[in-house]
Amino acid sequence: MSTVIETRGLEKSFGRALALDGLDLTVEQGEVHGFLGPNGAGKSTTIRVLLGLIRAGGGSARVFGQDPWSAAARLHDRIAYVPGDVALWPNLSGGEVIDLIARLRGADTRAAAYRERRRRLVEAFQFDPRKKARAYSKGNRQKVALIAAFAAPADLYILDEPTSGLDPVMEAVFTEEIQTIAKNEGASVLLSSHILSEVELLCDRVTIIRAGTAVESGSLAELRHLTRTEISFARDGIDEAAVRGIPGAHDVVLVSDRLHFTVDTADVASVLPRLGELQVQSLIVAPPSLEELFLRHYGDEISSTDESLAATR
Amino acid sequence: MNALGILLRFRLRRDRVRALVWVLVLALSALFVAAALAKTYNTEPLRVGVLKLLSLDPALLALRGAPDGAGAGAFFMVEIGSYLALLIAFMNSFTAVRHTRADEESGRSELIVATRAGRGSATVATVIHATALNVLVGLFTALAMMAAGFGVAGSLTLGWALACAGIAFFGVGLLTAQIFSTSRAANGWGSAIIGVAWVLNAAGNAAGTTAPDGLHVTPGAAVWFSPIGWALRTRPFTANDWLPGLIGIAFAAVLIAVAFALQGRRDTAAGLVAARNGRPWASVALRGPGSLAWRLQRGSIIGWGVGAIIGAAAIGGLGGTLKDAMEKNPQLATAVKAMGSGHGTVFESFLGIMMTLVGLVVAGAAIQTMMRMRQEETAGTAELVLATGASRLRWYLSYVVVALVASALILALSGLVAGSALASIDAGLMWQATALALAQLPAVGAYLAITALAFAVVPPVTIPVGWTLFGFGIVFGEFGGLLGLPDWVRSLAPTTHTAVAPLANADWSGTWVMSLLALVLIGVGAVAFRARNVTTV
Repeated sequence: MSTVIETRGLEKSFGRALALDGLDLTVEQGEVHGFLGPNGAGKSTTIRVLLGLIRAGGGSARVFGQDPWSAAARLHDRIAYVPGDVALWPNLSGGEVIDLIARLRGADTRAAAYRERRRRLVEAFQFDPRKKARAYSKGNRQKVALIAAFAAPADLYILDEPTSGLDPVMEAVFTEEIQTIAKNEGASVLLSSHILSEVELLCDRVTIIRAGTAVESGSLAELRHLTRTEISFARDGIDEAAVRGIPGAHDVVLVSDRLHFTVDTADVASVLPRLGELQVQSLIVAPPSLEELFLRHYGDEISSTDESLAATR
Repeated sequence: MNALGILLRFRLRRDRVRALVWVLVLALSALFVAAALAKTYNTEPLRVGVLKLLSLDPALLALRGAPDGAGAGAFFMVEIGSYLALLIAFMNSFTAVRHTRADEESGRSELIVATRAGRGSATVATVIHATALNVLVGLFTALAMMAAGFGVAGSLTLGWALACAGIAFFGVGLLTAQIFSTSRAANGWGSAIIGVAWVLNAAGNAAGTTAPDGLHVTPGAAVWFSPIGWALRTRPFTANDWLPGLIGIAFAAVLIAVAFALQGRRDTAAGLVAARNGRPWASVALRGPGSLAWRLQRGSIIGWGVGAIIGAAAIGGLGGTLKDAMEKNPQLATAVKAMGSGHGTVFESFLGIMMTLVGLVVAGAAIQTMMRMRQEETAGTAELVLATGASRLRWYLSYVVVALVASALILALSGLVAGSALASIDAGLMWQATALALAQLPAVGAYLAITALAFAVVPPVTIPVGWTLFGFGIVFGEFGGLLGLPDWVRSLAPTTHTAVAPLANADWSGTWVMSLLALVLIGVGAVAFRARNVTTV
């Protein structure tokens, strides 16, 4: 498996503001890579460096093994990009923009394959390509960029919060397209998002960034090991002390007649027999969600802000 | 504070730099021209000499103004009056659109309309804001004139005249902003109406009747159909008649009332001219950065082009009247000759002077095409193209090539139009006009190259640099001689280096130097643009 995107210690500052502070990011060929982080973490800056729109201040960036700055145009023939906030030319129709971008990416827009693909996408996204771009809502502008990206095949799709502004039905269409691309075409996808369910559904591996640095990176399975599984069941007269006695059980709490505790994901199997002995009712075992993972990194940012607020008082 | 007060303060806050610039531009232009005229035409006999020649030549009457005696103030009005009115006209039309349609188009006004501020209050605030701006500009221009030593009554009349012309064109801008759904279209139509108003005033002056003393010209009826004409008929420094200014205010009141009526009937963000659907597929013609650049700029280029060709047609027409006038008065021939290079026939030098004006209009098209690069960058649409296989260099050169090719075409057409109109005077003028028009291309290239360089090196200043360049080009190149500017200042304007008629012994060195300079600057710009970040700020 070859590496499609690789950054090492990537740095970028705008004036005094440090946007990227030694970011490491690796995307392997054929994988859908989730790129997660709160607003302002540096996701879009990274993407703009990878597209050669801005030049890295330090560290290295490689796309298909080449420098994204100096080989920008050559690399772009293999890349489809969907910006986070799609700006369009107000006096061009959506259909014109789609064809223009496809042609600029080197597609033959007269080929039957292109026309068929475009027709299918326009239909799937329920999009009217006749309207002038100034008449489109945010969601419809997003559709223009998405259709333009998917209408001609690419080796790498760089998608910057691609579903912002889309309704749930369109999000489902998007999900399907990504799955098709990854499975049938073996393309790689870098999907920046803060919609965790989307990432959980689509991505093989994720990188979580905060303040311009990657704080976590790996497959979802690997990352899940970093958080605990939550187990809960009806209280029904079960002694809380007995639950606390279970080896590996943490954070035992009683919430509205249900007892909750967490265990390291590796220990779940060994805990289950003890629960059987207690004859627990309506048992729920919730595997760790990405949301918890995210909050683990993002959460202490919130608390640290609280602290700094307290300190300034 | 009530909503209107908040909106009004918000406008002042947004426009604080802009308003200051406008006040300074108007007041300092007046002061500067007054000071220059006091140096070059400081005695009455000198002014009498110029005015007597001027009143004989309809072409000069059109480009300057109707003489109203040989006083220093009246002379000032002849030389610069209609141009000051033109400046304040643009200021007002743009201000009206900026605070109404532009906000609506961008969706910003939704934030305002969704509050207790009603749909109309933004427009009310804009009317008050613009009125205040005009009063300010009028007042400071009057103060500048007083500082230059002109009488209080005349200075105040000039201020009043400018403010009245300003508010009239504010009304025009407010109305076009209601009719068209984009600020681009509203500004385009506003500018076209300003152009028509200026031409009507010029035509009225050209058709004026000269008094026997040769120092007074009563303009024709056409000036009474132009807000610029109304303003100038206040005759500052002579009659000081404030009444014609009121026509401008009444005109504005009607337009503003219509604008409010229209706003009351239409949906927010919609125009009266309904948006049409586009084509569902891109045509074969739209396939790369070059065709996209053309598609984006063609409206603006065609607008400037029509202006240049109308100008060229006017040159042809004025050539005819000049011929008639000269047959009656041989004195005029010497005078027109003295204004140009001093070589060739009167018509050749006339053609030379006028073609630099056409060159400037075409430079406007080229400068605006270069500015488009910056607008694409800040809008985020440049990113869309640059993220595809189109390289930085190709994208940048697309705009340069579109600008150069369009400029060459407009110039050639203008030359042919002017030439065919003058061919009846002298068949040789046909090809000379075309060649002279095309000889403006290196000067246009220089304007283009400097704007492109600004875009590549200091992107945020692209648009101010472009317009400043254009303004200085007009002042240095077209008014330099009149203002008595030193030669080295005049020589900063590219149009002063173009070849002039007769072409047989024209000096082409300036052409080569400017072409080379333009190519070098475009090249440096290309390198600099490739080396910088694409940035929206």
